[in-house]
Parts: sequence; structure tokens; C-alpha cells
Amino acid sequence: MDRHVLLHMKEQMKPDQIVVDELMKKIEQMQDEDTKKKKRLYSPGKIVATASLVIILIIGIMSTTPGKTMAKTIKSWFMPQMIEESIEGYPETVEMQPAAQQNQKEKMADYVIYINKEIFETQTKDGVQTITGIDNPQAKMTIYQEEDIHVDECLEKIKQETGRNVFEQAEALNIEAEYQGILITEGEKWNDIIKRIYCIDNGQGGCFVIIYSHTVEADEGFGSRFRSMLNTFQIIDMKEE
Amino acid sequence: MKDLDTIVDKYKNMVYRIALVRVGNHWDADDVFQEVFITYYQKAPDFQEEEHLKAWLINTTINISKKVTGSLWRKRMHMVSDTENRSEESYEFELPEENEIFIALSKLPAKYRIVLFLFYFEELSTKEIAKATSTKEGTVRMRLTRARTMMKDYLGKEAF
Repeated sequence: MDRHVLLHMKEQMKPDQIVVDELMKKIEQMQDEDTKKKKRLYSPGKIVATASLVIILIIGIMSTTPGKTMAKTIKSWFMPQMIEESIEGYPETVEMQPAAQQNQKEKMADYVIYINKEIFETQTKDGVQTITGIDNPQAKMTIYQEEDIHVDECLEKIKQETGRNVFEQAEALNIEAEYQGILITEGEKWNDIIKRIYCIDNGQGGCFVIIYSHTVEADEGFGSRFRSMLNTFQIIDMKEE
Repeated sequence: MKDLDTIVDKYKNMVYRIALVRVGNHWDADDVFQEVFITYYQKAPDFQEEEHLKAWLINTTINISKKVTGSLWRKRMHMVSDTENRSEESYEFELPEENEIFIALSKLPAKYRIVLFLFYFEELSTKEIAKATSTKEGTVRMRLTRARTMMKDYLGKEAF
């Protein structure tokens, strides 16, 4: 393609000055509105009312017993949650159901992860939880625990098992526990598999291993859903209930 | 937040071009163009690096364009305009060859079209495109290859 043709096309694609002027006018109006709002917000009456509300809230929080707070937290683990996902770039809010797992072994932790059950099904066998796309079994997440192993050591072991030397770092997670993650791409064709492996400290001297995989083309679809799901992952103590 | 006038002045053409290529007509492109900068004003993101600001603007333009083209109202309007035999997907260039390229580009599925456009017209690297579109660099390269093949089929010659 002749570069001059592209440049000439580019030069022709620009907004009308009227549209630009209209935009600037809209923004000016919004700025004026914001200034007026700020003035209204800091009126003396409002400041007194807000201060009173804060005092009432502090007294309320201080008088709540720890037991009450804990019971509320535990209960909230088993409630469905509305989670915002970005599917193919579109924001989408979906209801996710909790899938809590209680482990019998002493050195293993209990956990909860929220799943969109319209898209995924889950089952647990021999301590391994599998979450699979109902219409796409290639999209799969597995969760299991390794005893007496640190996150770094666990990841190193997994890296060696893959027989590779180079790894990309997987996306950061929005979870509290210490973790490490790698990403492995088996190719760049649409149907090649992308795999992400995370080792997450289970707080019991071992770690969770969470692996999810799907095709390259599904990275913004199933990949994005898995990432949202994984960000709901929480280590809990079900014995406290 | 940087001075909005300066940002609008610097990026107005880029935002408009991306919107136009994504939505296919200047009416919707005008709306997307305005909404992008209004969103910037409302969210007031603070970017340390210019490249982050640019990536944010590209990403927001694509997302708002998706919202516009995917809206139920627009789909209904599209159906009406189809029945009235009016083509909404149009933009007039000076040269016939340019119109041919734009029509062929409009025929590409959106995710291929945007990658091809950002690479050849906006001259972004595959790494920059990956960042701006929240995809992996490998996915961008794969889409570029497919988009080139499709363009060749539509134009009947090697285009890119």
C-alpha cells in the first residue's frame, strides 16, 4: 500500500470544527455545573449534618461485637455476588454463585470462589476442583493444594515440569494472599492454548495451585471471565462458622 | 489532569479517526468523539506518561464505539435504514481508490479492522496496540495477519 494514499486518507478523516466547538461548549457547561455543586456541597448546614452522621456511625461501629461482625462476614461468603466483568471489551455485570470448599486435612485451607453458573460448571474430585465452560470444555480452571511448599518453590517446580526456559508473567490478581503467576502460550494461532498458572500461599505452610487455560481467540472472552472469577478467590476458615 | 484544551487539540483527529473506522459513519463518529473527551473530563485520570494517556484514549474510543454500534436503538435504526435501502456505512474520500480501501476496511470484523487501522494508519507498534486494546501482542500479530489476508480478498490485490 502506498504510504501517501494512507496519509492522504488520514488527513481527510477529521472532526468538523462545529463538532469540536460543540464539545468544548458542553465541557464548559459541565465545569460551571461542577463549580456550582461544590459551592452547594460546602454550605455550613451540610458540614454540621455530615459531622453528626460521622459521630453516630463511629459510635455504631464501636458498639458492634466482634462475634456479630464475624458472623456477618461468614454469611456473606455464601451469598451470590454481582461481579463486573469485561467481555470482549464490553462491561457486563453478572451474578456469581459461591463454590466454597472445606478441606479435611489439617495443613490445607478452606476457600471460596464465585462462579457464573450460566457459563461454567464445577466439580470436585480427590481434592481437585475443576471449573469448565459448559459449551466450551477447552476453557478450564483447576484448583488444588500442595502441602509444605512455599509459593516460589512451588512455581519453580511447575516451571521445571513444563520443560521450558522462558515464561511470561501472568496478570496481577486482586487478592490478599501472597502469590506468583506465569503465562504459557503454546502458539499464536487462534486455536492454540494459553495457560496461566498461579501459586497462592494457603496460610498453612503450603499453597494453592490454580491453573486456567483456553484458546488464544478466547482470551478476551473466557480468559476475561476466568480472571474475574479468580479475583473473587478468598481463603476462609469454615470451621469458625 | 492535563489541560483539556491541549489534549483535545492534540488527540482530536486520532480519536475521530478511530471512532470513524470503528463505527463506519461520521454521525456516530461525531458522538463517539464527543463522549470520549467528556468521559476524560468526568473521570479526570491522572497519567504520568503521555503514552498512557494515548493508550487510554484509544481504549476508551474503542469501548464507546462498541457501545454505540451495539446499542439496541442503533440496531433498530440500522434495520430501518436497510429496508429503506440507505447505506449508513459511508464516508466520502476524495479519490476512488481511497473509497475502495475504506469500504474494504469496513467489511472486516471490528477486531481485525481496528488492529489493521492502528498499525498502518496510526503507526502504532504491535506492543502499543496490545496495550491499548488490552490484548496480548501475539493476538495482535495474529489479527494483523488475518486482516491483511481479508483485505487482499476484498480488494483483489495485496493491500498491506
